[in-house]
Amino acid sequence: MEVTGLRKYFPVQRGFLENALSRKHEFVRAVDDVEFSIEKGETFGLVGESGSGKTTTGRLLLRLIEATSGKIIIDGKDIVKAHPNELRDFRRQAQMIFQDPTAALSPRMTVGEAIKDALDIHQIGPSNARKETVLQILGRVGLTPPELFYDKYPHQLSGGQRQRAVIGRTMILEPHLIVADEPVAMVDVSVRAQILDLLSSLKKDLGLTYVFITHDLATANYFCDRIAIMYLGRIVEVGLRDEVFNSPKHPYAVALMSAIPVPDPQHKRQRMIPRGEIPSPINPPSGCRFHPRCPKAFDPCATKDPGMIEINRTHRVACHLFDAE
Amino acid sequence: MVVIGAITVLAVVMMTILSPYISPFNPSAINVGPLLQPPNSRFPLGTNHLGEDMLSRVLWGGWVMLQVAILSVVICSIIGVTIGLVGAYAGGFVDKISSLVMDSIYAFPGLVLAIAISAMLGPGVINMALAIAVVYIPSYFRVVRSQVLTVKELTYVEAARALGAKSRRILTRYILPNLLPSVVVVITLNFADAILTAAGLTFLGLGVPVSTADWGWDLTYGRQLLFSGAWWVIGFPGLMIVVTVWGFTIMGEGLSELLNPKLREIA
Amino acid sequence: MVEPLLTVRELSVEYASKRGQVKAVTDVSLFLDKGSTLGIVGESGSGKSTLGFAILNLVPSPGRVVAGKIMFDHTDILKQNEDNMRRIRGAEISMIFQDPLTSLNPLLKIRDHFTELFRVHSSTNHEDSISRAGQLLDDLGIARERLSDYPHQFSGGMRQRVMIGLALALNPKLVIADEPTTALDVIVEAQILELMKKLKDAYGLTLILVTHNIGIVAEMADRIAVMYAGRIIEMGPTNDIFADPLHPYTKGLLESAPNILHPERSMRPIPGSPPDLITLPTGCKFHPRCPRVFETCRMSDPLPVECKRRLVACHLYA
Repeated sequence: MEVTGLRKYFPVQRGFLENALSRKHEFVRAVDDVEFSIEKGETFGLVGESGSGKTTTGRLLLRLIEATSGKIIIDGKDIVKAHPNELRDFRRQAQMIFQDPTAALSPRMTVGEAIKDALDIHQIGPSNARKETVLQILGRVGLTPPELFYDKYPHQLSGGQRQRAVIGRTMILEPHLIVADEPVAMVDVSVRAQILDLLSSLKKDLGLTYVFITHDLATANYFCDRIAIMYLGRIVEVGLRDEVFNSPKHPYAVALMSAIPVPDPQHKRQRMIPRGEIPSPINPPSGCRFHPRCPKAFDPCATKDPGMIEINRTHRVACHLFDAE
Repeated sequence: MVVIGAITVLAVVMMTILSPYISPFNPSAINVGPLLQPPNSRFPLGTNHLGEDMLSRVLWGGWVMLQVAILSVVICSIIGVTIGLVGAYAGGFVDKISSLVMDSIYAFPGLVLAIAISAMLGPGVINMALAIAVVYIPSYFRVVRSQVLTVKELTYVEAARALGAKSRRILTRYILPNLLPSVVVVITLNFADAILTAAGLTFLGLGVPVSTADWGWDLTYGRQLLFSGAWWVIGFPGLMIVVTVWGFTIMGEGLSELLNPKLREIA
Repeated sequence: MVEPLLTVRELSVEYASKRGQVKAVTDVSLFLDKGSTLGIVGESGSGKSTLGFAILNLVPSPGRVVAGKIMFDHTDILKQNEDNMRRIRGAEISMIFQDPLTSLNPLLKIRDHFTELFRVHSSTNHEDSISRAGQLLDDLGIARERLSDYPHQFSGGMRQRVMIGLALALNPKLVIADEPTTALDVIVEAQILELMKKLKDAYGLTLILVTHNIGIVAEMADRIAVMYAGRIIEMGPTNDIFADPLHPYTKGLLESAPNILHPERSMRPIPGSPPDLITLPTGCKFHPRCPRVFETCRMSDPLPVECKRRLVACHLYA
């Protein structure tokens, strides 16, 4: 996958009169010039806090929302410009796992019906054999005995079980690409690892590529091969998992790493907490977006936008500190 | 609650359907008995000014009501729900236009509008049903529209889209089933209202020809006869209307609690 | 020996539901010394939030306290009438809630939240209460001009600071924080934690921290109580428990937590899922998931015993 110049601006909702009387519209610059590439078979992490644009990016990748501009080339095809008919096939090959498994399932459909619908939509296999396929998937994601779970409604299952059902629905189409948006955020801590392990084993079986969206750095550390850190609609650092976690370069990345609570009472915490709070994406700061809060800000930061600067072949930062090198 | 309401409604319906078999007299047969007799052993509910047996009239009288109610509810719900679904899901211009039309209709007091349309169309069961239907379409529309607007943004709809489902499928398999509880509630309450309005229309002389046995007609005449002390002519049909409406209302209220699977699990 | 500020003895709380009684909290006993911080850790359904509410006698109906005693500073909490409890809440024991968005009144300015609090609890006049609120905001790092803003004009982190301010405004003896940072971003969470540490030291607070996040209690709490299925299964000094967790659930919980410094030792799942609080398993409630289960575990529910300077409820140590 290759993403270049991706932008998504949401118009700010205004009242009827304002719209009629004033020409100037304001936009929420949710995703503002994002660029990255993903290899087949990778697990790519998109990490950021709220307002970073990671969730919007995920939805743009699957064209659940329309991009304002930019290119998303998946397997040679530009998703942004593709015709709705071409998208049909794409939808089979690229799926999403949502954050809230309860909300992702219609309360009026049983688990079995919800999963089977995926097959019905794409007319996969003879219709009388579809239930059998669903039962197999239910077993595969750990909802056993499958016959029992087939007839259950979402509200009868635990959070972890619901997420397994959502994963089953996603996998039954045998996609190539999965965008997982905070798949374990709403699941109990002791069950999280179970779900992640399930995702890992499915990845091996089906040869999947994952885009893993999360605000939880520790989970990203556990699960991803490469990580991109987003701030206010832009990517500020991208690299191999170990590079980004063990030697973060961007001051924001450093702050993020130092902020995570560590489950060790003896650990000496040295937090680098940036000043203030995340500004509004409607009027982001000029130049480098992090500059008002950055402890290392200097001259060019307020005026010039740092592009992506290479530290080495795999590790890149968007920060003037690394300019001259 | 639902059970009580349902039983009441069922009893009334059964009574009406079986009326040809259980009714002692032809309700429109005049002079079967002495005029204006109070309830007695031969005529348990008395007779009216034309000598017609009140019991027979009460048993038969619901028939027109129910026909009208059922017909109008069916027409009304199908049209209202469909417009609501399509308008709210499509959004934009379609939504604005349909909302405008619906709000205009809704702005009229129900009975007045029904009277106007009924007067235009003339008498008859079907015309009555149409008049009443038009009045209530906006109620369905509003309920459906507000729900669709909410549900449309919910994750499972997005998930269905991610699966590749087309709009029609999303509407029928994902959105509509989640609206059903609310729609059923509106249907039951609609029945109640429809019966009241139908009674009102006949009361005013706009519904069915006077010869047909109908609670509404009995109310009209009964009103005048009340002054001469003949309370049974207005009383029993009136009571039947109240009971039927009450039955539907209770059923509707009970259903709204019952039909949501989540609410059922929590105490 | 100074008497503990708070003592809870054999507390049980149940909720009535269509399917039966939900045993949210069963037989919980704990104590809290003045000036110390107790972390109550557990996953969803462990009963930790209910416990927090019970201490304020605020268990929402259809929940009821069915047994036990709560002694706070010589006052028997469960025996107080509602008027007394109202006096105690906010002024002597206060609570910081999880979701600052819904816990603040959207129709009141921030300043009014404070004046309302002062008005209900003490006789400070209008002027004094405004200046006291301003002082608190300084401590919390919020500009004084923002007193006249409404909650929706504040970000999540700011609202949580306001909540903390409201909780501390009347110098309570005990503060209960229920998942205070769960709804916040990582960096804001760090800011709030640093703030809470600073205030804890400055005001000498006694704090109960209810959370599912092990990292937070490692940092903030002197002692921890680990809850599972409504019971406290291990309780003791934080350092001891982290260094050497005794109960298999505690061990599993610590190992399942993400640890950015030692990723190889983290994110290990506990098989199965937490039990249904209406139909609990027999014997020890954790036995269906326990890697060290044996016969006795299925038959009897272990009582807490003292072992290595803490309390454990596990047959391995009985």
